[in-house]
Amino acid sequence: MNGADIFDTLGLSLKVGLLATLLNLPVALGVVYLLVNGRFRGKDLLEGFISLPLVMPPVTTGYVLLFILGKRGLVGSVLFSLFGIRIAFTTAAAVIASMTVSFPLIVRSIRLSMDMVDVRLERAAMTLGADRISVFFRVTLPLILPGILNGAVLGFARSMGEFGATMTFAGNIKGETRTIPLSVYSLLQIPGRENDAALLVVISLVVSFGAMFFSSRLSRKSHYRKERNDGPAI
Amino acid sequence: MALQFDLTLPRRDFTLRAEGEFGRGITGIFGHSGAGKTSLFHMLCGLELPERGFIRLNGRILTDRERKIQVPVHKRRIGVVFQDKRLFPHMTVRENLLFGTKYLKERRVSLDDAVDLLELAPLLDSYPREISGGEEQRTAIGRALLTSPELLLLDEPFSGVDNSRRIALLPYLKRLRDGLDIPMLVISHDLPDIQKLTSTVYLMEKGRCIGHGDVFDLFDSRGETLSRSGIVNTFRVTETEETAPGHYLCAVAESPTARLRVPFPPERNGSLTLPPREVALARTRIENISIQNQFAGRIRKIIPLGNRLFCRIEGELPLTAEITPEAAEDLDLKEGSRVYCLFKAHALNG
Repeated sequence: MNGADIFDTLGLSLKVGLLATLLNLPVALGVVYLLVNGRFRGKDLLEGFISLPLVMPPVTTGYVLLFILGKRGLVGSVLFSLFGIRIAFTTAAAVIASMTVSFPLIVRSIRLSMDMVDVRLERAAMTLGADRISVFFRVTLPLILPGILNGAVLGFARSMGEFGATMTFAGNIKGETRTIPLSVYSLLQIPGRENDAALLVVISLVVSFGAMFFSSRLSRKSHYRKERNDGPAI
Repeated sequence: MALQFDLTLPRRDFTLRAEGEFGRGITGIFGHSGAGKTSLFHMLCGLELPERGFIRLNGRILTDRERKIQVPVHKRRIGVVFQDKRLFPHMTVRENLLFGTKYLKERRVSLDDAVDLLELAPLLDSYPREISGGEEQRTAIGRALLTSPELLLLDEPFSGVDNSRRIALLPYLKRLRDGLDIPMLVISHDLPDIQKLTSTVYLMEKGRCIGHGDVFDLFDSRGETLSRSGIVNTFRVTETEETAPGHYLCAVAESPTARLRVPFPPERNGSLTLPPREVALARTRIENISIQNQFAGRIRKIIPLGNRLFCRIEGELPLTAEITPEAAEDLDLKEGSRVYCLFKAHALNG
């Protein structure tokens, strides 16, 4: 395995992880907003459904995705016959697999911080003239930013480590769906390539740790948590 | 009248039924906790929906259940200062103050005005968690003020602020009272606190308004409630003269001639309070007595409450005195009797 291969694998992993996280964030925000503020039937059902990938073995998640989006799947067959779009066994499938498994983690993290937001602050904002949308963007969103950030990092890390669902739904295609974990797996199948595998493991560790470190730095910097340190501690 | 309402809201233990008309100026909403004061505020600003009734503010209908009108909170133009202040923790004091100005078509109160009035200049770049409770309170008031409201609601502005600070907050509220030409309603469960700001009260008990008007006019019918709540005589200081070091002579708005002797310098436009039980009555002027304040008057009305008599006295300095029935009998005090009211300089509070 040469340097270019390593870079390609790392690049693909980052691309899949970042894409999955970025696409997940707005959806997760919307879903959390609905879960916290919405009053509708089947709310519990929706909540349970969202958490499913958390408890399902990733391989089965991949199977379900294949069942729905595969070329002969429920939706996939329509997409293929009408538009000629093939999803399974492409980079898009790797992204979707990552999205699916990391989504509940992101939702949970945002949900936790949303639950902590004091509704009385939102009401105060309303008396000051802000409508619902304005309240969300000027009060709620800044207050849950640490939760969003935390969710994004968790989701990204989960995507970077995703294996089972990707293998099943996206396959192990070099340059297209072979992310770091799949690469490590493939390398371990070949005698004498353990060192290459170890190198990738180290790289993936560095990336994950970096993301965590970055996130905790950022959330500590978030200004409303800041306390002045120039006075005596009381 | 700028504000009119008639509202019904069933609550767990009683049905809140409140009606009222308010012009510009400050009114104290007084009642014990659980009397429905905060619910009334919530209905006025639109956070709670009454079961029946209407709210009209400067000719605008904000709520009318019959016609199914409910103007949303953010369009009511009612400034609210909540009991728990509710400053946005992620914004500086300046950003908090300017929060509502974004939604205004025309600004009638400028940031500089509010900052000057409430003395917020040194705090502008601080975050709420870095400032004291009293400063938070002032910021919350300024934030509401900057939305150019047509009505200002203050919920227990003194609570959560310790005793020395509540006195510190008073001058700001007075400046607000004197500088605004909108109705201002101030909730408090402390009658003397309200009386330091205004003599106009709206009495609430178990969800009902049991009186609205000058606090001493209401005394005739609601003496029981008011005396139990610690009603005080209040005098608005107009001028102060230091006659000797530590001795002050004050002219008050309530009387053109009376001069009160006070052992501390009252603040300008401040008020002095005097509990009725601190006032003694005599039939003749008493010479050679240590009591510094003595004013001639006539008993206009005697209101018996339990084992005490409240004498409403008119004359040089109108006030209310609390005496025992025995004392009244001994001195043969009746309505119309001429009396002298005596109280020590130290009985007055700033």
